[in-house]
Amino acid sequence: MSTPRADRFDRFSAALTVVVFAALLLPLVVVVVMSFNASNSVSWPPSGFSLQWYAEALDKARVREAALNTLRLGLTTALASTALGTITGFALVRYSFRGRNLTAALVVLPVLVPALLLGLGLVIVLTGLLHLRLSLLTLWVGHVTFTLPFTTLIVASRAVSLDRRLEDASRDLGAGWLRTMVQVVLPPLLPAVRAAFLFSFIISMNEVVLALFLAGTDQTLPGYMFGEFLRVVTPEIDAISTLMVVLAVAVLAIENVAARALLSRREQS
Amino acid sequence: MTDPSDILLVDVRKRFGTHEALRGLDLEVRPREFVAILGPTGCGKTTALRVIAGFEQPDSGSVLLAGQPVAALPPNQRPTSTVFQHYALFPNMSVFDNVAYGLRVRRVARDEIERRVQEALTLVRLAGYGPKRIQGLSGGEQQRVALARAIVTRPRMLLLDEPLSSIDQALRTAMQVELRQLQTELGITFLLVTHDQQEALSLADRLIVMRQGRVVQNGPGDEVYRRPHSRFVAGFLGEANLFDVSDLAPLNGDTTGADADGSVVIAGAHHERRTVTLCVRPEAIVVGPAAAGLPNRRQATLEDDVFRGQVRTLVLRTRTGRRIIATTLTTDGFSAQHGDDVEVGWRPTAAAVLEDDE
Repeated sequence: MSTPRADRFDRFSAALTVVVFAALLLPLVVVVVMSFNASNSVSWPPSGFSLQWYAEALDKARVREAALNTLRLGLTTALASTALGTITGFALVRYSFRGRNLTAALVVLPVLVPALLLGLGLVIVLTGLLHLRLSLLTLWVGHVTFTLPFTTLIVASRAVSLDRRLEDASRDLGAGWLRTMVQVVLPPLLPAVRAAFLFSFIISMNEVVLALFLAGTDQTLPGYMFGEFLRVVTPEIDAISTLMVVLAVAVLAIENVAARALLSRREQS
Repeated sequence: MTDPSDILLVDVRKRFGTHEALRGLDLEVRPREFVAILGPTGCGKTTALRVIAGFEQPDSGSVLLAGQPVAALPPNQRPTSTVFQHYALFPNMSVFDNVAYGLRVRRVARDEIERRVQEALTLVRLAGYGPKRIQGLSGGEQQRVALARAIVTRPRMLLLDEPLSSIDQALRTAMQVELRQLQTELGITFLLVTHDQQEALSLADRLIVMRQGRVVQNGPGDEVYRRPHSRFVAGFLGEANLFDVSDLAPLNGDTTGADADGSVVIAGAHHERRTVTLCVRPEAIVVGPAAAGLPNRRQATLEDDVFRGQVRTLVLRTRTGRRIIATTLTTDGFSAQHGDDVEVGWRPTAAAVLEDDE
């Protein structure tokens, strides 16, 4: 039973929800709409419908190469960061070792310092100390460092709820460390591992500060877009942004379908 | 008798931070014995089990399984198998896969795995449960899956950590009977850890009572119950009437003395000691006319009378105010009103003389 007062509150919270979602989605909608603009103006309102900016963007070899770089970087970053983060996250929760608290603090450090500082520091270390040439590889190192806190924390938060006795039971039944990890520890961690993978992929895909510092002459899409912003702004930028949103959603969808397929196959066997 | 003991712990110590879990534990289990380690929470009994299984490394002392020192062996190379408290079944696997786990680890052939898993499931009366998921099972069923999983690898000894603690009372009695049958059928050593004295008494051939990281008494269940060595054991295994007797003097090979309520006759020669403490179990207290003629008699007032079906528990108080608990069979026909004066007594042979006063 709802009193008039509760009614008013319901209406208020509904209105608030609409405002919040509008604030979140409106810029996105504007960008998507503008990408189909027929004129070369980026200011509202659009005039006419056209796919010319998509055609123009995809026609440029630099854009295609940047897109490919972004994809490769995102996948390799996600793979490495998720693998490292899973091991680190589980280890921080399960094992007590000397310097555990220090390790936990150090792991989250990269999110606490500004990306600018991390980028600068990595440039000095990678080029000055290790004499590496700035390229996609150095950016990959930066992205793995930058995303490791996220993947570690995601997996650790799930690992807390693991039942340690299951690992004891596995060893008691004769299984070694590796088998216990793969068959007993990993399955309940999988949702977190998946989330960590997606999270690190999307962070890497959208990251621009480290990309400016560490990519050298290689370019990622955010890096390319940032460069374009500084020169001349056309709806081409909107088209590329829209493509990136589509790509991100596609990655989420593909991962989801793949995970379901994998899960149902495991249940059948 | 020349068989080496299956489990032998000598002066085992284990410390967690400032807490000394095991303070020189000595323990022996012979082949095919069913032994229960009994003790209150925190007495070190679970730590003892984990040391035997290999989950904890003792700080000092030696652990021998089947005559072999196992200090260097991890759990997966010991001849033990554990039934964990709350079972620790793998939630992402079916019943079959849970039971088959230990066999797959040992790379047993596929058709033999099939056969042995079915065999084990049949033994714990879960035939046909193979494809089921763990989440859908009742506590009793999970308990049996845990048992099947532990015995399918044919361990030499089975370690059970409070195996019945999360099962409701009605089912627990049935599972106790099944556990005993299983042990007889398998013919392997069972070492069970529990804080439930009833469970320990009804399951095990022999009891090891632990307190503060040490063994305080060790022997067959009825002996430990009837002849406790200490106040602790007397109180931990059920109700106990304790009488502190002094002024001891010899009497035809027996001993006489007195407590606050009067004279006491003690079976056996104990007069060299200054005082002794007697433990008389409630069912050894004789109430009413039957007490007449017993050497140890007290006048007491009936304070409470609790009917429990098979037995009734009587709470009595002597003239000096000490409480005596007695149980009588309800078929005995004893009847008295609250506040009635009744005579109580006990046979000298029914009293245990405690060896120490702790």
